[in-house]
Amino acid sequence: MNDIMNGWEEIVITAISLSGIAFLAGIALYYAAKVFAVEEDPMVEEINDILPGANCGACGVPGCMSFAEKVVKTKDMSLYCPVGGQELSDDIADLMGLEAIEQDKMVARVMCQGGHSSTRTGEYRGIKTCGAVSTIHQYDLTCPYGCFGYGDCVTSCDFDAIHIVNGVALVDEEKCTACDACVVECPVNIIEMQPYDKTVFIACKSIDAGGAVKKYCDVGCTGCKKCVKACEHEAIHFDSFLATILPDKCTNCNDCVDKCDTDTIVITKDGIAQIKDKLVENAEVNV
Amino acid sequence: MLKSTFNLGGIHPPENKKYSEGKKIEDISLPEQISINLNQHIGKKAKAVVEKKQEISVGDILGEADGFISALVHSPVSGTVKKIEQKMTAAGMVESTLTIDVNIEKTTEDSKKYETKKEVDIDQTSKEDLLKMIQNAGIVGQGGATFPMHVKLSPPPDKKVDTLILNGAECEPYLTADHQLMLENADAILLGVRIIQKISNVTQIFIGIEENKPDAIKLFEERISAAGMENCKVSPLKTKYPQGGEKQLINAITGREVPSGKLPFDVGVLVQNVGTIFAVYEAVFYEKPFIDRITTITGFVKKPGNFRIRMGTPFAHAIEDGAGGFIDEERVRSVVNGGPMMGKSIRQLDVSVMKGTSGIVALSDHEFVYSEEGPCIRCGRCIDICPMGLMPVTLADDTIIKNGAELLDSLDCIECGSCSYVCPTSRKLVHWIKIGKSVYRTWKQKEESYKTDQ
Repeated sequence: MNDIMNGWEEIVITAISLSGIAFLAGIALYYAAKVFAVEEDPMVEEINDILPGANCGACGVPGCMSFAEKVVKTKDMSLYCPVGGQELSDDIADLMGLEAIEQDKMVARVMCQGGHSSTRTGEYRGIKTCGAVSTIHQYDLTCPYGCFGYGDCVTSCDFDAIHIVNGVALVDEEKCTACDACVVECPVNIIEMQPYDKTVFIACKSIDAGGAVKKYCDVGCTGCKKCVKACEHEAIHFDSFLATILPDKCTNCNDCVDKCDTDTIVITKDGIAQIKDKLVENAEVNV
Repeated sequence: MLKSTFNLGGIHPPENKKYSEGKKIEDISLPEQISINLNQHIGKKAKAVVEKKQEISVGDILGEADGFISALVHSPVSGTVKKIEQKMTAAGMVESTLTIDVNIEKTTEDSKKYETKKEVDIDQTSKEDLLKMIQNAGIVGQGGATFPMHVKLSPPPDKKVDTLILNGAECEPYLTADHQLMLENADAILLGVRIIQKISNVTQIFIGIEENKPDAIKLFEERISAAGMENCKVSPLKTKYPQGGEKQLINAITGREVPSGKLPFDVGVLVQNVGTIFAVYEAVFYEKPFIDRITTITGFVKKPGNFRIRMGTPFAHAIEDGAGGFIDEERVRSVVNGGPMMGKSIRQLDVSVMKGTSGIVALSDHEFVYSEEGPCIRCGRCIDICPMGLMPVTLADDTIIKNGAELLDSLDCIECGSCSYVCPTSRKLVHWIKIGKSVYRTWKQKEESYKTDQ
């Protein structure tokens, strides 16, 4: 009987002492929370909630939370989340009580449509990624400027917006959020950012002379200058056998498209670049 | 006598040296057009000093060294510069390349000045003069790494070099150029050794030759005793790949180990390929710039052999004219610049011979068996045979999952290709490690540019 009583005593003592410690620690923690409290703007949390949460880094800061913090801190409405687009900018402006700034939607565009219509010098049998090819040979096609078509951009895309179609990368512009991931990944720098509403672009980067281009590619820019003459708005810049459309001046009149003999000039329709008709007809998305 | 060898790993691929072994060194006729690129060495690329349509003759300087670690590029022919363009080289990279129309008669005439031997007393000539001669000849290491010779011969003053190792191992399968060169020019090579000895004050010299070349070992032993070079010794090496790797050779002969990230002169050793030494001999005694080299053309060709070939000769011409063309063009699967273990397949035959082209190997469908990359079965064979004591499988996996500084370890790989050779599921381990290296280097560059920005 005595033994049992002793046991009870021990339990009671333990319980009381532990509760005492807990109480003291509680008071200490309460004051610590008061003294060391970090002031946080509730606005940061609110803005973070409406951000897409992709953490892609396209806005120029490391992630969505940092973007929210930066917006609240600087009150700079020119900060732009390409994933959320203009809609999101308006929402953020509403929350902050400021005026939103209109931004153009940008999309990635692949400046090549060579793929299977361009010749290859050899048969590459190594590891099938563009990065692996570029460590061995600087280019894979006979064209030194063309898309390899092994799809490093496809794996880098978080939004399923880019695919390899007939040996060349093709962007789905409706899904593209202009996050820049594919632009950084591409070892031949064939992907460029362009405004979404300018629907004409010249899909070639070869600065070789016309004769050389004709030898290795059906759809390369030969530097014939026909488009330059056709353009009434002086929107086509010509340098070293390569024409490029200046988005600032282009009016989407499509005058140049019919003039191009090699079908190098591409129109986008419904968010897909309408590359050479015969390629699109039997287009196969092999991702 | 116990043959020395390196202590870790190594493989025994089929040698296949029988095709070109013992074939006398022949000259290859001049092609009508050659193309010379300006980045044939490690370091900064040379700067073009000629213009389009300029008349040049043999030995004229085409590219000037731009910086300390860089080398001169000389014209191997007389003729006219046709164009300067960006073109893919045999090494697979796009470099500015000079295309030269060859004036065959004038070239033959002009080349005669390199045929008369000058009287040079090595003991009387100063160290600086000899070094200057080597630098002016634009000599780079011929083993494959193409490190500029004058840089290798002038180590930092706090590093003391006491041993010279002459690399005659030639462990790459198929290649026999160094072997043939040693047989035909033993005395010249020993004179070259004396030049290097004078410049770098080494106290002991070893000539490392694999035991599959007994005639070369015997010949050198004879010639050394005839020349009375007491501190010079032939060390027969076991036939094992990669015996000719710089770090493996040092380990096999001296027992020293080059620490990670360090160079041979950190352990007091200088390693030179026999071809390089021969080029040094020619530069000093014939005042001949580095405009031709001994190369093996072998494999699936009609007349394999060892050839003296001018830089810039297109592969197509070399194979057609020297080796009599392919046996069956349809069956050629790969033409390799260098040896089959470390060389790179070329993409088109119009690329030209460079300072580092130690061999041109044509592989047929019988020799070149391709299989898709399979999954790792954890057998550990790559770890067993890695001559650097690395874990190739881990390094390859690191490339896939890691980034930036975490890939530092892959820099220890010497890219000998042994792991890819033994892998039972044909994983392209060396290729993965190479990608890892390039990812690391890109990261490092970026990191340094940030530092300089701040």
